Amino acid sequence: MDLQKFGQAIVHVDLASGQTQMRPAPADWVKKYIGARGLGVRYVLEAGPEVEALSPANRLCFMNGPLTGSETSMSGRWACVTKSPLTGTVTDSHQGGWTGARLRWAGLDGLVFEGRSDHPVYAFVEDGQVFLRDASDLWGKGIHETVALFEERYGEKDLSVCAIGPAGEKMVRFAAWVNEDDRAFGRGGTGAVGGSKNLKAIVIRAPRAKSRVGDDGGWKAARRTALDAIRDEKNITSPRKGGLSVYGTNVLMNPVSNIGALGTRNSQVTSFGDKAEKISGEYVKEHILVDDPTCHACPVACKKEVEIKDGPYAGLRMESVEYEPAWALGANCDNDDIGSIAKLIDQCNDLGMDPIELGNALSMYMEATERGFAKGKGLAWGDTAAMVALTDAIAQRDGDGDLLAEGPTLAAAQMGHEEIAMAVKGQALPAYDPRGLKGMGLGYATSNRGACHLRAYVAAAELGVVPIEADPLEWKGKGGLVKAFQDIHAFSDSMDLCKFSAFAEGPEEYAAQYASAMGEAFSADDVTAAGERIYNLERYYNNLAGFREGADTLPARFIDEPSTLAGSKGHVSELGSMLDEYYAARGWEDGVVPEAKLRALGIL
Amino acid sequence: MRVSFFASLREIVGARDFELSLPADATVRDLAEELVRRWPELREQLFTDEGALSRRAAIYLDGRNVRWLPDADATRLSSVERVAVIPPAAGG
Repeated sequence: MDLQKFGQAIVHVDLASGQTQMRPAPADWVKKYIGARGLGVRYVLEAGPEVEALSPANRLCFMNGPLTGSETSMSGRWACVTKSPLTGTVTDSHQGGWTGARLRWAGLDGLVFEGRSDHPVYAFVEDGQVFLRDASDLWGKGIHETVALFEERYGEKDLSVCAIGPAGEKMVRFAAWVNEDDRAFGRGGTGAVGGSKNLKAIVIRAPRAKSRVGDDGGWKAARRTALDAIRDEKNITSPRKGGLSVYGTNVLMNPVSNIGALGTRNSQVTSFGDKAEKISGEYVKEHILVDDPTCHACPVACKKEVEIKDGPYAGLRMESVEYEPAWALGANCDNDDIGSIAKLIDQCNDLGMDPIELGNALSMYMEATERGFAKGKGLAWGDTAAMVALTDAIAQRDGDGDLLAEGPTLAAAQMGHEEIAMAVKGQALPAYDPRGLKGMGLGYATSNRGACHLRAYVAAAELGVVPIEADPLEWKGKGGLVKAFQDIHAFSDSMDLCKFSAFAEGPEEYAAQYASAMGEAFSADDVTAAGERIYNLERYYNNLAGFREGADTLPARFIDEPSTLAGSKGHVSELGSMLDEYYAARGWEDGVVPEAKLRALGIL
Repeated sequence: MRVSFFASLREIVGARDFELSLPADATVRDLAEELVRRWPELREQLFTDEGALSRRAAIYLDGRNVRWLPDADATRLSSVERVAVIPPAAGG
């Protein structure tokens, strides 16, 4: 069977009544907002920005993009979109693997959940239909066991499982959905929304479909052009040659520490010094790497499966020691033990939690302990055994874990010291210190889902990976650059291609692939226009939800406390100046989208 | 001075880092040429076909890409403590 044209098969599920209904997405929504991230935000907006994130009225959308499940390179992505219980903003998170592709092969483009079931359920998807089935026997189980039980029940062949763990059930504010054991909708607490609805899992059974999409001739040519770019040996995506393919995302650990942009000890300093080596991609490859798994239709294979050979976690085999969690649970917590980092990441995969938020919650608590105002038992820097134990407690909301389950921002506020939460709009910072990579700092501040490296990812320019001149320590010019990157990524997240495609592709390649898939004319200018529209739609939602003047900011640490280490020594984030540039480029008034702008973009 | 290599460059050089002595007035270009003399495979990483410093691998002096220094490849190394040579790196 050929894949259906995107947008025709969205299933709405009322968890209160158990009723399901397939409806095509409104045609003008697909045209304006493309799919995945953009289309999901439009569905969430329809439910109203005032809804409580953990109430039945919130919508929980799982959305494919127009190319998901095709043979288009790096198209194994799908999005989870909802109102975040962590930030109160609209949020979207993306995962790789095979589950989004399998949803497409099952004949569907998206799932929109509303309401709350009165008992635990899972959604079983097959042949274009969705069935709600009892999950009472699965409630309380970890994700690894849940996946194994479903494979036992339905057979491993042609099956994908995306589930929440105990953290989602307990509504930990940074709970995640995880598919196939280890690919997560990590950020924003989407797993807690699943828990609030008593939705344990989405289980999809479908054989691989013939993955031609849209116009056959045009699509093949567009796909080939993009694939050639991905394979080009000059690009970091080059299979088995480029740094991203050989070492995974953790190829960044040493370089970012070297330039003084690696937040360490809750971002009190900007480099992990010689210890960075022990948690780096190079170290992983030399000592514990056992396999290079990949996602659907991806030649890059950036995932890194490891096996711990000694110490208390000897025998643990897991994927993947990525840069972000290795930083959050490593340098940021003053932990240079790779075995414990693998263990903590695997706990996140099993319990269903965002390791970036977890690492920041732990590092915040460590700083609170050091400064003498921690509530509870406290936590010492680099105490790995205590970190592992506290991670379990957070997922179960036991003891001190209940405080940290609220996320670092709310937990720090409860201790009366919000200033030690390294977060924007309630979401914790990722692994690039805004003093050493100034564009990344502006990207964090203006991200619509709270601090996020992936909304803009101008690090690609500041680290010299794409051919754009951008001195990481220069603030001038970053306003327009961040806007441009945000817009292009809003489009790629909506199509939904892997973010890393942008290391090899650009608007021309995206436009050609989208045009051939949808059978309509679409130019590179249309790519950036759609991306800008989607970014403004999210901002409109957030403005209505109460995020207005002054919401785009950074923790004072990055503005007031200069870096003391080489690479970025003496530097702070000139956020105010960068925001002036940025708002001028956006046409916003201090973070608020004017009505005229919304009308010009076709949002109103 | 200590020169460190990251990622795939280590496989060319066969080491994480090594000590290098250069004349007191040596520049970044002198350093790059010395590295290529020792490991010819580094030429395509460090230099363009026209002989300018390449973007494929960047030389960092005390954490700062020489690309952003006022004298770029003419910068003298006399006060530098730490040199790193880094191939393109990015990810999530």
